[in-house]
Amino acid sequence: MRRGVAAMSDVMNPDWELLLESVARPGHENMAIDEQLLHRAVADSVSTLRFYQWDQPTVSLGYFQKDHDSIPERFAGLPVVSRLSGGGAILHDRELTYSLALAKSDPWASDPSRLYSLVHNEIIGAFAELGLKSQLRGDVAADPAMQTFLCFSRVDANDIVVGSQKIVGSAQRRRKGCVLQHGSILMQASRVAPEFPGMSELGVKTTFDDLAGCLAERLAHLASPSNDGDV
Amino acid sequence: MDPASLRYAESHEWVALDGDVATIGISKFAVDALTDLVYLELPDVGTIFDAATVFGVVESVKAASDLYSPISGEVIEVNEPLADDLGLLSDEPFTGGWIMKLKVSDASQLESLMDHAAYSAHCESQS
Repeated sequence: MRRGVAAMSDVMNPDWELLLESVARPGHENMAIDEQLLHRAVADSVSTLRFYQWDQPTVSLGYFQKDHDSIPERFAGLPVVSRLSGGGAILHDRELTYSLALAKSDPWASDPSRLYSLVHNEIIGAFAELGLKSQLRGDVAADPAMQTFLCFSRVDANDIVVGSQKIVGSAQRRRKGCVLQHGSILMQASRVAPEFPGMSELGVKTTFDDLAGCLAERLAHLASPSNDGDV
Repeated sequence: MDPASLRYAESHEWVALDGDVATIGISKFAVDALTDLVYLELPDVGTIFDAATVFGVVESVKAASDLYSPISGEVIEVNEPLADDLGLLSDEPFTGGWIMKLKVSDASQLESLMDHAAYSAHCESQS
């Protein structure tokens, strides 16, 4: 699990460990690590913030998307993994993925619904530092009838959008009072799913390391138990 | 089911015991906290669960949450219509929204669960 991992624990409050993985991994490894981080939160009360990448275009299915036959033809032949979290399928390619596994003792674990906007507001702040204006989508009526296959075609109040274009989506698994939240930040459109522009197409060029470092610094203050969360 | 007569787990499942059959669901507090429910994974009849082990999963607002059996036993019935009508869970969490029935192996486990007053205080501490 340490392969390709550069620890930046000096940046963070010691209550959260930071994993910044510059080396992209296969999808099954990425999901196994996220599962292990949730397990560690449950068993050892360790909270972790992780940033990672995918070594090839990979489809991840939400926990309840059990039917592989529903995967669109154009994704045929790509690796497919299952997530612990809910939500729709994601085509992971040129993105930065984060996962945040919070132990039950973490102040934010007790309000997981709010965790989406807390983390997303920090991502919006990081985007702004890079010159990209984005915002939470805001109130939308949840409509189960609109549960399209792909997450990035779905609509949720906590989506980060640039104009009307969704650029970040997150999902959660909740277990024994602990929370695993992970999400995809589209850095560049995938050739396999070109209908979803990334930061690059929206005029901002950055690197995984720069964006992850910026996000780690911005999220660090959430790790402080004394922070009141007014972001 | 009268919520005041039920026993509750910290993880918000409720139990009603009738003889050696326990009816299990999730509380209104949990349903309200989860908000819009979209999927529910029910256990198979015949499955045996130990107390505090996962028996199902529910999804709401892109969050998949584990459900825990508050008591040990074998599943003898599940509320099949529930998976297709989660409104039942939202509207009638203590009646039509029951999730499964267990043939319990040790009814004394009920004593380690919270009564309504203790559970209300537990919910208060979480809100």
